[in-house]
Amino acid sequence: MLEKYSTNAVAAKIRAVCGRMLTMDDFMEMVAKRSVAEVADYLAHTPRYSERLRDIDPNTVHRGFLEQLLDEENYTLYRRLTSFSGLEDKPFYDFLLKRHECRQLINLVNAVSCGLQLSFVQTLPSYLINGSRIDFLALARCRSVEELTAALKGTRYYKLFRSFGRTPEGKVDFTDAEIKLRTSLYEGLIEDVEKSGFGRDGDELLSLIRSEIDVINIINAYRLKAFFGYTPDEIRKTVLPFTQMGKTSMNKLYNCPEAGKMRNVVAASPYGRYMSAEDDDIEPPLRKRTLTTMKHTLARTCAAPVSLYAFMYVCENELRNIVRVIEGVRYDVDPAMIYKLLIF
Amino acid sequence: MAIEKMEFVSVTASRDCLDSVLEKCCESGCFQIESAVASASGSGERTLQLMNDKNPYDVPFKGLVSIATELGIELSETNYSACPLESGADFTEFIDSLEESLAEASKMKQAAQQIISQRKAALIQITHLHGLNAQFDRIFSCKHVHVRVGKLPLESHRKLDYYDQNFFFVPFEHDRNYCWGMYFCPKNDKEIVDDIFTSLYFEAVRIPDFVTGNTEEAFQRLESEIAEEEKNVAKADRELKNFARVHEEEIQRAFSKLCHKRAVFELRRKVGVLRDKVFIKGFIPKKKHKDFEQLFAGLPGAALTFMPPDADSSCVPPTVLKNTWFTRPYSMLVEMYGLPDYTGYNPTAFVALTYTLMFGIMFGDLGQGFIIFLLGLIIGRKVHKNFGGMMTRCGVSSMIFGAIYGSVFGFEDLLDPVYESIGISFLPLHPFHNTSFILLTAVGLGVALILISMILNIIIGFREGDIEKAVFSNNGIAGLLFYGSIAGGVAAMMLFDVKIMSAPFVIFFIVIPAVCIFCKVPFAAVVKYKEFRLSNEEEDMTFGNFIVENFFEMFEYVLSYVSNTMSFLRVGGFVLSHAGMMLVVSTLMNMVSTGAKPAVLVIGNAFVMVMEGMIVAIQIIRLEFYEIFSRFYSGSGKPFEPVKAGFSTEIE
Repeated sequence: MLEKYSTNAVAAKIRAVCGRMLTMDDFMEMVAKRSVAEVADYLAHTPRYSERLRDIDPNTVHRGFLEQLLDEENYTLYRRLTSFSGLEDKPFYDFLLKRHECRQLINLVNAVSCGLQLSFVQTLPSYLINGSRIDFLALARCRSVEELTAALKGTRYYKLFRSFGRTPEGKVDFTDAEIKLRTSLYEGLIEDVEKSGFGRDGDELLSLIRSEIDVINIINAYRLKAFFGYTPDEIRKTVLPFTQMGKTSMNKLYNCPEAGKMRNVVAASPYGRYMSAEDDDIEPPLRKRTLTTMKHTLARTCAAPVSLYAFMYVCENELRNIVRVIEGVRYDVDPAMIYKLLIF
Repeated sequence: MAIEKMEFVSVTASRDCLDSVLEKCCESGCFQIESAVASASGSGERTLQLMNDKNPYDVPFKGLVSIATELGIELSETNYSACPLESGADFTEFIDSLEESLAEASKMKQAAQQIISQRKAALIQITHLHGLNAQFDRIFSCKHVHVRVGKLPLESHRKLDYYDQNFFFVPFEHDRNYCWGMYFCPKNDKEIVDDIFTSLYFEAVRIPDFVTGNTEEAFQRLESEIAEEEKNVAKADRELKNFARVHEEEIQRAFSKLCHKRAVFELRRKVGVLRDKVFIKGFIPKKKHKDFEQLFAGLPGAALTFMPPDADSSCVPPTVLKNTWFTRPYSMLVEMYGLPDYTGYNPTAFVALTYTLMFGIMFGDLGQGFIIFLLGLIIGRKVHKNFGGMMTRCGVSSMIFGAIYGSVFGFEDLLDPVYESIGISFLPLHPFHNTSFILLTAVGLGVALILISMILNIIIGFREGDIEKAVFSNNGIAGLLFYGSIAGGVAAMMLFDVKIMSAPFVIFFIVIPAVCIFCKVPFAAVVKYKEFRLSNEEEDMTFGNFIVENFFEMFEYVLSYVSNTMSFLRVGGFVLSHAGMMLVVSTLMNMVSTGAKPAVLVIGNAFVMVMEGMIVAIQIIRLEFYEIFSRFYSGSGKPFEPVKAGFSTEIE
């Protein structure tokens, strides 16, 4: 019973934190700034980031470092929320750490294959250096994927790395590696939710995760069809094997002979709510739909896992928007154009 | 108690005497200037155009403000009759002469301040290099070693172990985000190592050439240099102070005159010019006609033309409320809501009467009313004339109703013997013994005030020729009949047991007025324009839309009649609340010892007066604005703002 109260408390705390998030007005002001320094200064004066950016000098801070600090703020917030009611050791609540690990492992496979370990180290978030059980800095010394696999012995990723497919030249198939890592991530998440006994909240959480996967699959399938002309079978091999909309509906989408028809199928599906004929890209309306679902869930739910999952999605979206603003301002893009790219 | 009559004045003058004309306008204190040209259409020599000359007093104004700031002189309005300066050039010359005299001290101060700021910035930089004991100049002069000092994000500091290039980083100290230190590498590897550190967001810090020795030595040297320069600043300040003491009067005079000249020149933006003639137009109160004419009598180049206030359709005449001694303080409330149109109705008298009456009813206490009266006298003299005036009137009203309630500083029985001795049996009217009577009277008062507001609206509507407003609206004749007959019918039935709601009464006084309100737009259009239309705004309004729209409007009107009437219950409610609060004070008084009783009485009375007095005052404003004004008053008038050359130190 007490656990129920503590999860209510987490949801309440999340709602309180939501009140500090950047608003559309904030973004409107930021896109109108003339330099990254001005954006950094603006962010340093918002309740959301003032603490994190307190000691930085907006005039000299590098935009890469600024983005790193903002990303770190999101992660710290997540750690604070999970430790708030002693949830950090419970299954599922480490989902963000696992997601970041997965992303970095995908980057690492790519970096090692192309000899870009230095770039990997530069962009590696510091919270993974300190918080992950995987020693990413040590892994970055590997010269091949085989070395990487050997270095991962003893971790839950070892088996997965060994199963990566090979290209005819004998090199690791990067696409296969990425799909397997992502599949493993979501498999683990779904398993954690099912084992955790969240009850009806668990069902809601699974629905959120599967909807998110649907959106990823739809975007990938559309890109593969529109830009690379993949066949339905080829597309089916690259998608994540989970769905909320149902296999029949997803297959109907994959079986479309051309991108235009695929677009119509998506528009007619529950994910096409924000799509319009003028949109060149289907990604923004789909992401907007996911964001809206997450925001609605956040406003309604009292369950800590559901609330936390939705909240971290909203935070990541905010960070993506800020990065777009920073990049837009840096390259002198028209404020209206930058604003159009933002997802609210 | 109406609105002051205004006159439209047009001044035509030759360009040479423009300044004198504008001076006279300011001097009159009763002339509101209007833009001589309504719109910026047309150009060229044959069209009347607004003057757009650059104000020659702007630059000297800024200069003099800056000098005064530098000298620490607080600028204030002074008599400037002894100031010989006239043109912008005169003022510029005066400022130049001041600056010349100040130059040496000012330069010395600036140079010292610049050095202080440089040294302080360097101090901040080297504050983070406390771990460095070697000589700066020796480190930076190494022949084969490349050195950079700066700050590295803590996240990046942890990543340094990954790199096996030929460099090492010496950390000195770290704060929340950065680690301060310096890195060394062979000069040959400079590019690679610099690239690595740049990619790790290392921010290099430049150590200025004047920083020499090791950190401790540099610290001491910089601090002693700062102290030395601060002495120079103090010396310069002393010189400036002496200068200010000698020249302050002269500067104040010049500034006051400059302000006046600048403000007068600014009025040119509203002056029209055609060849060598200038045109000024505006309004004056009609009663000032002679004074204004006399003022311009000695100015041969200027000709005045007086016209009725509506002579120029591009200028809206301003409103000046004309009030008696009793109503004048209440104009504050009317202005707060918005002034009436020039041709509109001045509601100040109505507000004065209703406000005073309602305050008395809601805050009736002979003793407290007297205190409010006295406070009003003091505040009216010392702080705010109108506010004090309102307080004295409300105080007297409170005393009258206090006498009726028999309440003196919360003692409800104190006046009983007085009334007994003079043989008045129905007084005092103790609130707790006459609760129903007080509440019903409050509602009755509300009904009466709403009906009066409607009558005012009807009169204003007829005066404006607005048939819809006067006859068919919810506050017109139809509304008056509808509301009045229902209120009268209910009152007759409940209070006197007289049933007047017969079928003809209902048809003529309720149904027909309701139909009129429902169809006010088409009915008014038929009466006024002899044509049928369902809406004034939308031409393609359908019957369905018309019925739906007007059904909801009608519903809202009926609801507002009920809620506005019930809103006046608060008048009765506050009578009871006042008596209740004073009962609490007297109960508290009975609970304490005899010695403490006076203190409880005084504190209790003071508390009730402040708290309840404020609440009552605000509640009446609410009743006035929402229940009464909303029925007949628009408050869209323009205030009367005579031109003046004001004193200001603000640089725009």
